[in-house]
Amino acid sequence: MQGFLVNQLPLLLLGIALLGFTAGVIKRIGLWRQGRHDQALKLSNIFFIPKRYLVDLHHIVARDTYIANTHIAAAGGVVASVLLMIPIYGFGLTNFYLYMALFLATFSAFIGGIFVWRRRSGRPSRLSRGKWNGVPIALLSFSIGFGFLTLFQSGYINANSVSIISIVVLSALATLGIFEIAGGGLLNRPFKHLLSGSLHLAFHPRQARFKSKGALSTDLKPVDWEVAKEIGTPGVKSVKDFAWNRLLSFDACIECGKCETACPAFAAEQPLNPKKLIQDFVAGMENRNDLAYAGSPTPGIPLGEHGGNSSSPIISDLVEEDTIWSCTSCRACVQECPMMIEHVDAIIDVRRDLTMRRGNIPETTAEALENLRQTDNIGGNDPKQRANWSLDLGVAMLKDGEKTDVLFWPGEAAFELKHQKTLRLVAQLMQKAGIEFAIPDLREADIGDFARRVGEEVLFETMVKKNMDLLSNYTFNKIVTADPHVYHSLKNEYSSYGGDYQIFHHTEFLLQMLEEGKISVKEKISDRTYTYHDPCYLGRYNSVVDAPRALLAMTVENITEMDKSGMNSRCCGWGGGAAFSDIPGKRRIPDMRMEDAQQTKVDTLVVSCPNCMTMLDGVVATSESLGPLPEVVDIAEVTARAVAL
Amino acid sequence: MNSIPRIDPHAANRGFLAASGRKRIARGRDLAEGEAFTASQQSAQHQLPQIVIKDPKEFVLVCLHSREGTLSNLDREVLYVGRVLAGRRTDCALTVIVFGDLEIDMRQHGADRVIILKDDRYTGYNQEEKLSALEHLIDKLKPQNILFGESAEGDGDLARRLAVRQNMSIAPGVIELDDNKVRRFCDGGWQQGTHELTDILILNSGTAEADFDFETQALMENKLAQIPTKASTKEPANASKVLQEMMRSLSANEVPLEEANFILSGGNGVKDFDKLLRLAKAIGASVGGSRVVVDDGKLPRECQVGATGKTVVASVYIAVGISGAVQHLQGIKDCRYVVAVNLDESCDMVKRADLSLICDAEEWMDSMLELLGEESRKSA
Repeated sequence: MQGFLVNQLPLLLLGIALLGFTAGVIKRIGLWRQGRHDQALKLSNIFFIPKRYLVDLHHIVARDTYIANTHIAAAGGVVASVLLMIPIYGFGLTNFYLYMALFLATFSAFIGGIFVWRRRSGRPSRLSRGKWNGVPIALLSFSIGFGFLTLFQSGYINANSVSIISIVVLSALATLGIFEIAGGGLLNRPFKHLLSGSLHLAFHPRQARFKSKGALSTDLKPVDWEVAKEIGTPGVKSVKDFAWNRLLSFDACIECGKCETACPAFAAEQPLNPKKLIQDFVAGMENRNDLAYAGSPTPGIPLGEHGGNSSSPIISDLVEEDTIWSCTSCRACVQECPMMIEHVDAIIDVRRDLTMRRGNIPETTAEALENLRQTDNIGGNDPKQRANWSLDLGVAMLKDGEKTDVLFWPGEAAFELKHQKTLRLVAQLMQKAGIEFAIPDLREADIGDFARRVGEEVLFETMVKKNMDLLSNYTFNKIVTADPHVYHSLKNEYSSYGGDYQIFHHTEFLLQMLEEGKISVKEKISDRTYTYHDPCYLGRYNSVVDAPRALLAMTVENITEMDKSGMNSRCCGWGGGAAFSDIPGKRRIPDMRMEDAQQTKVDTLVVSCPNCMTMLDGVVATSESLGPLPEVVDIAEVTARAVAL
Repeated sequence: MNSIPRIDPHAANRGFLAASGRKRIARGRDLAEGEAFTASQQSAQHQLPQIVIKDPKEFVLVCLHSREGTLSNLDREVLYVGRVLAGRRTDCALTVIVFGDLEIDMRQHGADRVIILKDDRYTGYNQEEKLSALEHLIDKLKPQNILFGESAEGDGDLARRLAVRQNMSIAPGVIELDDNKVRRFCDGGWQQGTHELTDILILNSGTAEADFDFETQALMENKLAQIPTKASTKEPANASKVLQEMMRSLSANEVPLEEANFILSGGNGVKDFDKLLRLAKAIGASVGGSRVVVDDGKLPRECQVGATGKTVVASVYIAVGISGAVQHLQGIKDCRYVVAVNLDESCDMVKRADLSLICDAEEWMDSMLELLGEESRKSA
C-alpha cells in the first residue's frame, strides 16, 4: 500500500491529469470556436507566449508586486513541478538534482499558495469567492502532497517510518491539487486560466499591445461590413458573434476584480461591473446561468436572472441594456486588467448592435445622434456659428488650397461659452508666440468620437469622410486641438481610413511654445493651489501625462496630485456618450471625481478637455459636499495668467 | 467607406434640421460659404436694417389668428417665412391678415402691410365668414403665395377649404422651403416629398427660426379691412361649437416641458420649492429644475432641464438660482428670452441671460408672490 502510494500513485495521477488536461483543451477549444473565425492569426503565435508572458504581461502584473511575486512562485512552481515529474515518474530518471529540483519546485508552489491564501484571507470584495476559493487550496495541497511524496519516493525520508494515515492524507492532497489544477479546463474551474490565459497572449485581439513593453493600442477597429452582412449585425448580438479569440480572452478572466475597483460606473453604483460583464459572456459561452458567479454583482441586478447559450441574445438574456450604456469608455478596466482583456471593445460591439441593428438607443443619446446627422454637431447648433468664438481675434479661416503652419481645430468646443474661453486663450497665446495658424472654414464636422462610441459607426464614417475631404483641401504642417477626443480620433482612428496627421494637444503645444521661448512665464502663480485631472482620452488613450504636468510645473508653484492620476486617473463621466445616456446610479461620476480633487485640499482643479470641463464644472456644492468646491479651469487659463497674456 | 447620402447641413441657402428633427430654412444673417467674419460685420448687426416697400405691385399673404392680442411661435415662424418669400421679389409686400385683435408691434415681425379683422363674425370656428373675407382680399390683392400655420386652432383647415374654393394648389405640412421648392410630409408623416412652390403653403411648427433681424413698415390697411358682409348659409348652425368642444386649455403644469412656452426653473439657490411651485402657478408657468435639485428629489425627474434632461424651447425661461452649468445651458439654447435670478453676477447663467436680476432667489420669489397677491386682490 505504502509502496503503491509512494511509487505508483504519482505516475497514475500524472497520467490522469494529463488526460484530463488534454480533454480540457479539447473542450475549451470547442467553446471558443463557437465564436466566428477571425483575422489570419497564425498558429505559430504560440511561440510568442513565453516572451509575452515574461515581458509584456509581467509589465502589467508587476504594478502589484505582491501578486506578481506570488504568481511567479505559484505558477513557476506548478509548471516546473509537472515538467520535472515527467522524467522522474514517467521515465524513472532519478538522481539527486532532479529530486532536489522537484522538491524546490513544490516548495515554491507552496510559498505561492501561502501568499494567495494571505491575500484572500482579508476577503477583499473585488476577489471572487466560490470556486475561486479553490485556488489556494489547490496550490497548497498540490505542493504539500507532491512535496512529501517526492521526499518519500526519493528515499530521503523513509516511507516506512511514516504512518500510513499520513501517507494516505498526503496522497489525497496531491490528488486534489493536481486534479484542480489540470482539470480547470474540463470542469470550468479557476485553473482554466493556465490554458486560456497563455493562449490569449498568443491570439490577443490587439496584437499591437505586444510591440513593445507597455505599448498602447486604444483605437477602435472599424466595422468589417462583409462580416456584418454574414452574421447579420455590424456588432455583436449574441456571444457567438464575437471572434473566437475574443471568447478566448473572456475565458482568460481570473476574476481578480481590478477592473471593478477602477471602474467609475461601478463606483457610482451604476449597473455596470466590468468583471461581471465578462463573466456574463463566459456564462453564455458555457451555456449556463450566472449563479456560479461569486464576485460582487452588478449594482442593482441580482444574480440568477440572466443566463443563456452562445446563440441567446446578449440583451437581455445575458446582460441588461443599462449595463452597456453605463460605460464611459474610459479604459480604466483595460488599463488595470492583468489578463489584458479588452472590455471596452466588447461593450462597443454590443452597442453597435443596439444602435445600428436594433435602434435601441437611450433617448437623449438618440437626440444627440440626430443632431449630429443633421447639423454635424452634437448640440444641434447652426454650423455657421462654428467660428463665432474667434470673431474679434482676427483668426484666419483657411480656404481651399490655402496653406498654414498650424491648423487649429476647435471641435465641439466652438459652441459653448465655457469652452470658447479656452479656445480664445489658446488662439491668443499662439498669436502672442507669433505662430502662423488658421482655423478650418465652417465645413468642419464633429470628429465622430461620440457617434463611434455609442455604436453609430456609419455616422462616424460619414464624419471621417467629411473631415478628411476638408483636410485634403488644406496644406498644413500640424494640427493643434484643445479637445482630447479630437486628438485621439485624428491621431489614432482616422488612420484606418488613410488619415495621417501630425497632431498636438494644446498641453503639448503650449509646453513646446514655452520651452522654445516663444512665450515666457512672467511669474509663476503662487496665490492658488492646483491639482490636475487627466482626461482619459489624453492620458490612458495616448499616455500624454507628462506634458500637462511639465506645463504646470513651469507656470504654477503649488501642485498636488490626486490619488487617482496619470494613467490611473478617474473618468469625469462624459466619455462614450455616458453623459447623454445618463444611466442612474447611487452617485454621479463627476461628483466622485470632484471629491477626489477636494481631498487634495486645493482651490483649483485644472482640466485640459472641454468635456471634463462640462462634467466637473457642472458639479454643484450640496449639503453632502466635502466643503467648498475647487474652481475648474482649463490649463490654457493657467498658462495665460502665468505668461500675463 | 460607407457613403449613405445625407442632408448636407453646410450647403448654402439650404434648410437644415435642428434638434428634435425640426427643419429650418437658411437664415438671412448666415454668411456665404467660406466668407470670412470681420468685426465690422458683427457690429453692423446691431442696427436693424429697414425694409421699406413704397408701392407694392405684388403680394404675399400670411393669414393668422391672434390669441389675446399676441402671436404664437408658429405664427412668428410663418411671418418670417412669408417675409423671406416676399423679399425674393421686387416691390412685393408681405400682407398679414389677422383674425382678432393685435397688441404687438408688427414692424418687428416682418409685416409690410397689416389687415386686422376683429369683427365678432370672425371669432370662433366661423370658417365660412373667414373664407369669404379671404376670398374678398385675394380678389383685391392677387397674391403670389398665401401662407398659413398648421396650428391647432384650425388655420390649416381654413387653408384647405380656401384651396378647394379657389381651385388653388396647396402644400400642407411643409417642413422646409427654399427658393423654388418645398419639402413636406406625405403619407401621414412616413415619407417626405418635394415639389415646386404652391399657391397655398401650410407650415409645420419649426420650419423656420423666427429671428427677425430687420424692421418693416407694418402699415395698417384699414380700407381693405372693410369686408362686405355676406350672409352665409352653408355653415351648420352649431359649427361654432366644434372647435370649442375639441379644444381644452391645459394648465401650465400639464404641458410637457419640451412644449412649454413659459418655464420657471429652480436650481440649487432655491430652498423652498413649495414657494417655487406656488409662484409658477401664480404666473402660469411650467416648472423645470436643474440636475442637482432633481437628484435631490426636490422635483420629479421629468422636470430636469439640460443636455441629460429635457431640451426646452420656451419663449421665456426664468432660471431661479441656477448658476448655468454647460449641460444646463445646452438644454435651454433654443429659448427665446432667458431671465436669470441669481446672487452671483459672474455666473454663466447671467452671461447667457437676456435679463438678469442679481438678488436672493427666496426674496425675489417672496416679493413676486406679494405683488401678484396685490394684483389679484385689486382685480377681485
